[in-house]
Amino acid sequence: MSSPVPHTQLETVSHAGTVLTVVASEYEANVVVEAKDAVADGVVALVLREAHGRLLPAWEPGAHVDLVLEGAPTRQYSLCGDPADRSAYRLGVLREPQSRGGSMRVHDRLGVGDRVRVRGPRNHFPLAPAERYLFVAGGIGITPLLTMVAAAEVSGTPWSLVYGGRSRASMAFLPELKGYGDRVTVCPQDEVGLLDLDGLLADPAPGTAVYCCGPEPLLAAIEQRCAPWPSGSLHVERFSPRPQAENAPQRSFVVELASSGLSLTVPADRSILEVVEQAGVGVLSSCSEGTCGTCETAVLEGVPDHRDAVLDEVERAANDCLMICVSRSCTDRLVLEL
Amino acid sequence: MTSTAQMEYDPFAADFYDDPFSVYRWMRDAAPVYYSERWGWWALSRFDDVRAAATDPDTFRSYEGIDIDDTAKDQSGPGFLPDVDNPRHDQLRKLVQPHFLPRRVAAQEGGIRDVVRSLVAAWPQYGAVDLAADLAWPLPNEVFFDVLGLPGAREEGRDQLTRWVHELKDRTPGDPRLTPVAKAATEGIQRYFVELLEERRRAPRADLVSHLVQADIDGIPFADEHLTPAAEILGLMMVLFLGGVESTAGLVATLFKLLAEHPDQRRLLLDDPSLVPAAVEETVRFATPLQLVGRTTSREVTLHGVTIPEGGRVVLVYGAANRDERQFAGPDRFDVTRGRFRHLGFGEGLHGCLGAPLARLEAKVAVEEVLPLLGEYDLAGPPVRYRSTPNMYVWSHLPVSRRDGAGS
Ligand code: FES
Repeated sequence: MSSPVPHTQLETVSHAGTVLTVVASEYEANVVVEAKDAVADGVVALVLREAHGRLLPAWEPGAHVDLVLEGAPTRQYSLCGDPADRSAYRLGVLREPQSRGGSMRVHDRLGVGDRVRVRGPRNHFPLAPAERYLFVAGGIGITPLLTMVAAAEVSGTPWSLVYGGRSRASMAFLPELKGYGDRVTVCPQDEVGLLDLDGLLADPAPGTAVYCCGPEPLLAAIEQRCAPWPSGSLHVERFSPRPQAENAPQRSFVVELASSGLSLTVPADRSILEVVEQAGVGVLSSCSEGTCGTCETAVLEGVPDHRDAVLDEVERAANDCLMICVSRSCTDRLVLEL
Repeated sequence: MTSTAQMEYDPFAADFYDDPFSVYRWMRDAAPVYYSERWGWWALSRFDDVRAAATDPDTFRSYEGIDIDDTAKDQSGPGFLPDVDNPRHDQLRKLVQPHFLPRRVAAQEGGIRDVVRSLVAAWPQYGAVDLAADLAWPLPNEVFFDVLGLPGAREEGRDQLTRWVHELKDRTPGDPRLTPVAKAATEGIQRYFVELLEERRRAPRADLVSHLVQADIDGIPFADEHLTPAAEILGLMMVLFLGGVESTAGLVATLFKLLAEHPDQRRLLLDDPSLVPAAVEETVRFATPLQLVGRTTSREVTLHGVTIPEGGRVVLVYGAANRDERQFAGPDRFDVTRGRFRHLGFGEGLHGCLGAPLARLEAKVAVEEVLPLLGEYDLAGPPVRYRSTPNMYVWSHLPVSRRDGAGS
């Protein structure tokens, strides 16, 4: 059988002047760039094939991989090819001059035939069954949604996609979306202005799952508009680090405390720490601002929304703990070892 | 019992720490915003009040120092983290915080265990042992020298440094000024640090000192090209050094003292070592090594009918807050089964103790290693309080005798 097995490896990461050696136990493989095509202004699509022609791990819509480049920060990219085709991965990469260099590297230096490493795939943005889907994409945020609309189409679930971008020329994958007809609304900002979120989301529609991926202002706006929607309606994917905790959008979720057997709702305006303490469960904390690491708590289930300054990228991606004084939850439910 | 008689809270009094807790109780009940005529400051003693002040660093500023006897700040200077307000505080703390994250500190457990074992191995085989002088002090000294990158136990300069550490704290009871001995030690250490930093700049090692001397803050080198005792980096070194040893020594000795005084609680730990972390927390609450810190108000504050003017000096009495019956059930009971809970023994918020994870770990390891060897030990004489600033409730001698069969 051909699929490489996950392996354990040591690697060195640096964070805030600290160098740590971590044990990464996850699929990681050398892949070869098979194709690199400009698919819009500032966007290239990469097709990556396993270096020895073996099958790559299976994935579901919404999954992403780490692209590991020598000498540039590791970045996450959504998979946007066909999940049924395990011989190759396709990624869409936006040129981001202000970012820390990963995307610039891909655009300027990476060529067909080059080798890179991929790690993952992981999925923090899975497509859950729903009666209807509303997909909202902003710019390069189209990548995970591309495979989601295809999956919704195959399953026969009613769906619509609203796709915004600066201009038609900057919006990737438009030709592929053409075939879906009027289920896709393309909204180039220079033609029609900003996305009409109020119109789209004014009436909470029970049974409709909203999936959104795009730049932080879009995510923040949509989180705000969806606040009156039934809890769990909205699903978002963000790759760029969160803005400071106090500006970040907050929503409510449930924490289950495995040892104490409690299930508590964390409202949008309170921290897990406050809620847990108020319920009489003892925890240690100090800074209450996500810097000292004292309140670290193990996560047994669910995906934390890390907002601390303690964990580095690798530690965050492990999703096995969080700082409960500031961090929240990407999932509606988080099970903690408390 | 609430006493209606007026009491005086004077942490400078030579005998104050013989029984601070009845004074604290009176303050909490009768004078929650206590004003000291003698020293001209106010004192907060209730848990909620102290916590509110500790977590409001904009109102309760630190620039005049956390020590209430050292208004000239002879020993601290710029960069002395507890005395720095924002925005600079956060920039400085960021330099050192990564070295004190619990997940990072946890990696030192093996090394700390080795230190404890080597200390115990040097004890006399029979008879009394001094758990303060022969365990509680050398343990954090050793660990902290190592963390900072100071000379090891057998390296040159070590004995002199150790002597200075103690002399720094030299005080005449009842006198809030530094003694000549303390002044000389301060200067000696500062000179030594300047040399050490220069050396690490030339030949960096994998230690905190090298990290600090090479660090920059937003592109500006943290350490000046020509280091002087007035440099910020010196203040930061000083607080790491002062903060890292005495309070941890206090915690470890106090823990063993309390276990001697509460054999039932000791029995619980002997039977179930998983209670040790809870016993450490309870010790920090029950007999807080850092009993008080000073703050200065940036605006007028009125609390419980008392108005503290802007610029007023305020003492946050952690030791009193941690015994507040408004917060804790049975606050005067030493109870190792309280688990994890909120107390103010390490402060909280912006100036919450940087070294708390290390102190917790050292105390835990010390008890795990030493308690099974000692078993049911007894005090072999009265514990001797460490001569220090009135902030500290720490022991310099804690003689205990091992019962027959123990240690075998
Ligand atoms: S309390 Fe400091 S990180 Fe949470």
